[in-house]
Amino acid sequence: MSDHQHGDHAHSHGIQAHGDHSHSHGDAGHSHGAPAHDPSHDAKFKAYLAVFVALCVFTAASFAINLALGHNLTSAALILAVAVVKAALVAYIFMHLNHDWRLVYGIMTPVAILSVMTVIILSIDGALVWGENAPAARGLNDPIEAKVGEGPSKGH
Amino acid sequence: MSVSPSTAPAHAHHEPGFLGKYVFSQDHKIIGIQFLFTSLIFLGIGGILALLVRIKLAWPMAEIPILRDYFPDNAGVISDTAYNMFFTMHATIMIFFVIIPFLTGAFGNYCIPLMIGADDMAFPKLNMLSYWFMWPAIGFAVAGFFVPGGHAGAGWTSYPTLASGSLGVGQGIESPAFPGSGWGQFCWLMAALLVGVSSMMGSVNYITTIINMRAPGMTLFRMPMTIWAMFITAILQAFALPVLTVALVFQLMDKTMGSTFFLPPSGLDFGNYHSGPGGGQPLLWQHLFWFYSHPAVYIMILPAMGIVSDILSTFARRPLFGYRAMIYSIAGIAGLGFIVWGHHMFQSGMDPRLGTGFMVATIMIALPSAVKTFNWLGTLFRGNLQFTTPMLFSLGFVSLFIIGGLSGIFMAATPVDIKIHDTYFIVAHIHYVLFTSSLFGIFAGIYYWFPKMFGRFMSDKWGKVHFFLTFVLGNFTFFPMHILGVAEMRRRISTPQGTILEGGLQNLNIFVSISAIALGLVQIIFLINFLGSIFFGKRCTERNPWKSNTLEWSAPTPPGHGNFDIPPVVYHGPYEYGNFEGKADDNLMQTEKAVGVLPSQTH
Amino acid sequence: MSHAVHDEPGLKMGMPLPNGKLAMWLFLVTEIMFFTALIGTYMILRNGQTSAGNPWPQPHDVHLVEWIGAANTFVLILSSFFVVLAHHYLHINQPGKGAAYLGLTLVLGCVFLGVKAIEYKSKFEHGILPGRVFEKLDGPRGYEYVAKVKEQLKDIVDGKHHVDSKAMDAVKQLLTEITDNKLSPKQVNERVVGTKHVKPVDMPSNPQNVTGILELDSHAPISYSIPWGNLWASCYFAMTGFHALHVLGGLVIFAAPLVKHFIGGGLKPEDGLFVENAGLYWHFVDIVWIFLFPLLYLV
Ligand code: HEM
Ligand SMILES: [Cu+2]
Repeated sequence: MSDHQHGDHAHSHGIQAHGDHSHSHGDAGHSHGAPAHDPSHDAKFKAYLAVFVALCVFTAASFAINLALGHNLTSAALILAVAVVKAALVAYIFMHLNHDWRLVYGIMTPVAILSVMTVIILSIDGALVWGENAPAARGLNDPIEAKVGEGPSKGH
Repeated sequence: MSVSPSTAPAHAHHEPGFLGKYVFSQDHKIIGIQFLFTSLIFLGIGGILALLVRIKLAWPMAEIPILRDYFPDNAGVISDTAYNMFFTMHATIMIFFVIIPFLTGAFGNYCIPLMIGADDMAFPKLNMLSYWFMWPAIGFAVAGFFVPGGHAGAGWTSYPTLASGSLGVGQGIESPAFPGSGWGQFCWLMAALLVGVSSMMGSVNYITTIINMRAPGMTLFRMPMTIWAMFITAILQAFALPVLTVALVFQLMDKTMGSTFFLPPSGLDFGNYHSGPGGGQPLLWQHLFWFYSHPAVYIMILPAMGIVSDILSTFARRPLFGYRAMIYSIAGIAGLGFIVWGHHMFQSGMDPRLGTGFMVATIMIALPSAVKTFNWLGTLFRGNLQFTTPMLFSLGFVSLFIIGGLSGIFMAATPVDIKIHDTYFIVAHIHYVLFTSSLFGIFAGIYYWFPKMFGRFMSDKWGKVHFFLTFVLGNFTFFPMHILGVAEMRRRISTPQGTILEGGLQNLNIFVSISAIALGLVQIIFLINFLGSIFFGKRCTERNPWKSNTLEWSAPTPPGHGNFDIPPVVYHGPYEYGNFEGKADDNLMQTEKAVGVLPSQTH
Repeated sequence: MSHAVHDEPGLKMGMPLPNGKLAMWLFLVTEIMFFTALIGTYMILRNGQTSAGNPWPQPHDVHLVEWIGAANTFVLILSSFFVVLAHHYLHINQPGKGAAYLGLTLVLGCVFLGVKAIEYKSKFEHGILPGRVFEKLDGPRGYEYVAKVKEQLKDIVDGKHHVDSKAMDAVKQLLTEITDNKLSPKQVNERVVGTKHVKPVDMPSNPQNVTGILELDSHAPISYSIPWGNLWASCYFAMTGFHALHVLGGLVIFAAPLVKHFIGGGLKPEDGLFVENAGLYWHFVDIVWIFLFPLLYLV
């Protein structure tokens, strides 16, 4: 909860800093200069463009990985890793988390932990192999499945 | 920054018409009171359903004259299908339409802006919308009683495949096994979905309001416990509800569109009927459902804990003992609450090794719960107790929550739970924590804030009568359920079975039912007191009748549109009760500057 | 925090974040949990239910075309880029450009939905819908399958549907064999897809090593068995459906400032806050697709 305390103190300069263009990533004390002729705006534009190009390249890359490696664990891991990088880029630059992380981390960190943890715990019961018990819990003990030869508890 | 410190209340103060003022109101106080009345009505409906359940359990074969019109086939005997419908809808209504709207809807709305010194919620329109989303939900919940096949009957937990099963695409949504699984279940799902949307809007609004709309000086660690509890509850809702929404959508899709999320690979056989091929996992529903619904039980208790903390400190005339510890323990309960859902599934076929983890986490929750209990006792210790009605209900809360918490620890141990799962022991636990705790907290809150809400007092004498009878009859009703449960009386079975009949325990069962009926009747005292006092109660002209400290008592009684005539400025925490130099009163409101050492600092 | 008893209270409490933006982030928190449950469920069902002998359908089994998905990814990424630019230009007081980029975003959103509609159409045409896919041919479902194929073959022979002339002989032969009741459901499936493409669970006890009708003409409108097809369709439509609904919502949100620009007297730098919040939402929708695309089409 310390972030809120932090907020409590940060407010007072945040108020006047950007009087006219009441704008939000005006994090206190970090000035953008006058709105109309922001010298940094070309730099920003370039950053956005770079991210866009990177996203396109990454999309192509995941497509290429799929073509090259086909469907297997390595390609899946690589492709998902690329997806995570893409998502991080969008969040960090496009969603301005590079400026705003210090304001929203208090809520984003728990939700990030919670979402990953939930999927892991659910997988433990629903997808991973836990011996005899698992197939029954997944409703996999029917005769049709049994005929396939390898039971569902193998081959992961 | 769009909100500057000197900004006066943002609304223009034009007078809205009757509709705008009382029906489509955007004023948080009116919305709170709307939630209050809605929940009270449903408390009545849910209560009647409970009594029907109890009647069936005590006298399974009795022909009840007044029910003859409703069950003509059975000459007034409650049928098993009807019984299923009654207990399912009793729980659903009590949870989704009574306890949650009471605590977060009524008290959340009424108290949050007033207690943090804001003129309204951050988003008044969203607030109004969140109330009005209750109504379609209520519509579905009520409509279900009148659809073919009757209302949902698979329990408030609606486990597949009993709840979700159907024959497949184009063959109707009802499973041949069970009539309530058709349109009734559909209505149940829609109702729960819409209530969820309403709560979600509320929770975003509450969090924003509490973070950004506090009065000058109201730092986080000067907020009353009620606000802390509401804050953490709102966060719980924001995190947990979306998962329930997904589960509900899946079940809705399974029911209406032929999807197979919860249908096992072999499909289902109903005698000669076969469903289409499946592929999903029935157990997945339980995981998703309890991922929400365990945090939801804390959604149903934390605000009550907050309210009770404030009331105890006020009427013990002592600072709340261990304020910070109270906050951390609420946060701890909330955090742990997300990793214990499996304790509802020890018997479900979930992997036992996973169960161990859930067991350990669940038992750990006892720690923060105990911290809270000891702090309440610490607050009372050597206090100058004033036994007003709200105080009595708060004391009732503390004592009976201990019983509910302890039975929770019993069940948290897997080996014990294997015996008592799905017995009346669970029912006893639920009712100790929800009836004699959450609802006691709600009663305490109503008696406490009533003067502020309506400008009149509720009768203290009848309030005490209400308390004593409710306390005694509540224990008569719910305590024996522990014994019945250990004697293996199963929950959700319409006729008492086996052991309890052999052991002669059916008399105890009948005793429970008689107590329950009496308990229901006693609530009429409350109802008359509540409604009567709105019009004829003793007038409350003071701003601060209880000599309390929090900001709502510095507003006019009842507060007008925009809440505060004097914009409040906060100088210290809310629990400064004690002796002050040069001051006759033993309280120091948050808006009063302190002279000398504060009572909370002398500990 | 110290015991700030005699502190003069600060002016405004809270975070240096406007209420709207704070609420948007909180809303995104609920959305994150929503899609976590949705996508998590998919991963669990997909990995938990399948086995080496009975794997999850491949994209081409279910008429999913990888490059279309990739193209749609590109569309969304571009739109995200445009939203950022729109906000950027509003911020530096060039509302005209800002509105133009918003308009482009709106168009790209529509393109995305259009492509999605085309993809959905191919699923509908091939009956790849929850509860309607044929699988588990040993059960009662097998006979339904044979009846369905018979009907489809008749339609082709009667000229109601067209197949490549190469496949026509095979169609006619299969129809007679079915009419003569010579084939088990699994054998019918074998004739339709070709022995090479039969999934292990659907392999008849004595495979004939035939060339399937679909190998001769991959567009022939004939049903075939897709193990886990119903579950696949359930997940696919739930995930992409909810994503598409979110895109639709985003379009409505972006329409508002555009209406203001063209009818309501022009955008002002203050509208940057609205656009920023709308942008946050849009980027989130983009991120969801960034995960859905590989999970559905590639992995
Ligand atoms: C000390 C804290 C608590 C512990 C350790 C605990 C533990 C448990 C356990 C293990 C069960 C599952 C029993 C079974 O089905 O076999 C359960 C059920 C339940 N608990 Fe608690 N509990 C606690 C507090 C609460 C509170 C505060 C509430 C609500 C305000 C609550 C409401 C419920 C409800 C409604 C059920 C029954 C769910 C159903 O219908 O199956 N519990 N509790
Ligand atoms: Cu629980």
